Amino acid sequence: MGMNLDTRRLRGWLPVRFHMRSTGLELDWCYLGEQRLTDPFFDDTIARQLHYPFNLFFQPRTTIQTLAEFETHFGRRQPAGLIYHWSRCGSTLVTQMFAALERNTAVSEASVIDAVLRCRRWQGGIQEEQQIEWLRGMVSALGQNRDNADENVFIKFDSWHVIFLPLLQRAFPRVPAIFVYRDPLEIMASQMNSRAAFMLPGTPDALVFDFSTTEMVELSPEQYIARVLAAIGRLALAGAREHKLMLLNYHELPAAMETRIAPHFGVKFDREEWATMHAATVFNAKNPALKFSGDTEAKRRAATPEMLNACAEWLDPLYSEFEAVRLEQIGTN
Amino acid sequence: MSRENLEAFRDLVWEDEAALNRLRLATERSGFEALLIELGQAAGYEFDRSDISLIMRENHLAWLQRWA
Repeated sequence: MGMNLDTRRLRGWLPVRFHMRSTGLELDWCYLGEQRLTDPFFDDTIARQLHYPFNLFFQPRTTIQTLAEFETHFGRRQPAGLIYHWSRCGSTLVTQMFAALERNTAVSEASVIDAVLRCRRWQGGIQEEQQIEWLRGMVSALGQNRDNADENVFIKFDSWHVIFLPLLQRAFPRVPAIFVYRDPLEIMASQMNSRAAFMLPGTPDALVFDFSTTEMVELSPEQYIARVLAAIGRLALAGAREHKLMLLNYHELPAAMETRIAPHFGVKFDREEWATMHAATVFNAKNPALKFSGDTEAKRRAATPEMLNACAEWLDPLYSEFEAVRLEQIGTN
Repeated sequence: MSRENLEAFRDLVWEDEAALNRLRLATERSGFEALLIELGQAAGYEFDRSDISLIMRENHLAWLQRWA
């Protein structure tokens, strides 16, 4: 469908693709109406919505400038909180708990946000101020009040998006943020069992870490994972020190949702709402069809000498620093 | 020709919120196609299920190819 759509007709539509054409940057939109984002990941919801005949037939495509028009018509949505993580640390549990309430919208690792974050790497000539406006517009469109019940918008990023922390801080300077982490050996075991895309050398996600070709070829999987996690960890630590990024250890969950995260984000829930949110913790956050079961011991048992060595060399010192800063943050609150 | 009719009707119905709402409620494909044909005929646009299926298929493929 054409590019000159009346933006006011896009209420209930979410931007779901951001792509480049010779004519410029464009957005695809998908109709969700009042359908809530309850899947562990944003793109899961969209993939399902795409099977509805309405969304197969009507596929509005607009220029990127539509985001600014969208904000003009429907207002700017400021997130209540931003969620970063070291991967496999319980951040999906955090978003799933928020998503359990109708008055919360939790946008989890949306590829369309990832695309805006990376757009200046793909295409020259885009100014940072422009990118920041697109980010704000994207969050407003994704977090739009589609059922007149939404009050709080939470945005969870991909793990490696921590490299964009300074940019996101400029885009959302007054929005509180958290970084969730856990014992790196447990992350390592999880990644060795099933690697995220950014942990695979040579994939587009991994290229942001600027490893040389030689490093990508020669590093063992354990060393590669450790060095990627170390890069993310160093940036998160800097964020904690410079941008008031609140550090949260996996073992504090889910209790810390009430004691630390909600107060940090400035959101309040009543007893009934907390009960609803805690009920979400019964299930596996990434596969709600399954019940949750703690995996710490299993992950530690899976540790090999190579994993232990890589963690000792690259990650254990960072974990100690995380813990020191976290305890300092708790002490000052 | 019927393909052109369908595309013209799609642009027209995009401006008709009442018709869009009816189409949104048609969650099954056959019901959606039947309703679209009915609405098109009422507005003077002739097309058939194969035209609708073709557009949906093209859109689906385009969508898959446009992953950022």
